[in-house]
Amino acid sequence: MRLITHNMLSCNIKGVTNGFPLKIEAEKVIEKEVDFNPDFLRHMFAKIEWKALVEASRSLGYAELPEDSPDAAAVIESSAADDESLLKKLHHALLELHLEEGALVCPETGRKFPVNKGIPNMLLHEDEVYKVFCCGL
Amino acid sequence: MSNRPELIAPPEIFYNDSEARKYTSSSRIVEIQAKLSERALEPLALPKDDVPRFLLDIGCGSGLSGETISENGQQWIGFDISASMLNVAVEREVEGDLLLGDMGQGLGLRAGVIDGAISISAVQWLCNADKSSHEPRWRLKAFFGSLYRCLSRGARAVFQLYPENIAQRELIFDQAMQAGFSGWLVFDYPRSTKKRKEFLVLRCGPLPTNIDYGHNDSCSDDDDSEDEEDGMVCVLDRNRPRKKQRTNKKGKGREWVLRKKEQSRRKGNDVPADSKYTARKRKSRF
Repeated sequence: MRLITHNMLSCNIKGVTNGFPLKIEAEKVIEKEVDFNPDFLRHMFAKIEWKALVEASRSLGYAELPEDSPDAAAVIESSAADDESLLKKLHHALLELHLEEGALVCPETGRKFPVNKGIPNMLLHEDEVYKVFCCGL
Repeated sequence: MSNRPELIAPPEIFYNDSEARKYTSSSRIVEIQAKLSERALEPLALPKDDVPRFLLDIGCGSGLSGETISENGQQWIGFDISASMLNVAVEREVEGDLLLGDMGQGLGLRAGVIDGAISISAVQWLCNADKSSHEPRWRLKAFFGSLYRCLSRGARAVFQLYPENIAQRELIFDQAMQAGFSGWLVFDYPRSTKKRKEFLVLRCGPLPTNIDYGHNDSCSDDDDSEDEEDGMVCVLDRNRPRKKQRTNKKGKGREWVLRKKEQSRRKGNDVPADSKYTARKRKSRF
């Protein structure tokens, strides 16, 4: 699982109000090289929770990202050459780091979602499912 | 549709290791899946500016549909409930990320982060109650509700479906509408029983003005040339008028005219008296 996916995932358990970000307990991390695409990074930048990303990349052992979120306008307008280093770091953190084995932990309930072969198991038990009642139906 | 897998076992049990392998090694299925996912990407109407978008593949299985997304230059996350299918996907080294999850429990994604979603032959599984705790209506509602939240505004979701009957189609469509989507159905080859494919296109926000058209048979199938007439387009739109007025060459007939005149008289309007000339056609020389 890449960190871009981790950045989108939140805990889905019934009654949890703040299930984001899931904490990472890493056991095995691998890196896969992917083509660098600055357009995609600029497109995704607005949607990314910077703090969660920094925290997640630290827990995978990658501490190059700056603590404070860079200015959005600067990232979007910068050409690839200008901000090469920042975009490259972002690229590495978002798309090249894979959590292979470990667990995701819900920040509120402490429930563990195991990650095997890079696939997080997000299946809920029956008592955790949020049931939506349809009124009048 | 005599042998529907939905009726045999729940998806996480039906797609076990051997079934998952069989599914992915069948060249026929691979080809069908690739075609379907290619077709499903069209109504997504992603902007053609070469920037990869972040898509969701719901019920990705062994990543056959995901491969088509990757070929289209997009990034994706795949959801599936069958661990065996996902293992096959890992072995095939698909590019997207995979999640083991039940779409009937909601997707659990942050709001507004996804640029589009496709799902190939998956949503009809939600209509089955495989456990005592399952209630299709809730599960569909949880699914569509969470999907609506995680899609960005103006994003679309395309589902290729095999509903078992009209009631299932209506159930799925109704739940999608209740979640706040606007949408329409696209039928490819509506008159052919075998090739007929059904797509549900949903959109966050108001209905756009342009309508998607179904495919017709102009592509290179050699032996299917007689189907060419059948490749007609049939778009089921919410706004389509329900009744077509029944008229034929002769007009609506004397009885209809007399009834309307009677109605108008009852309202107190000034109506000419009935005679033998009422509702007759004029002669052509007139």
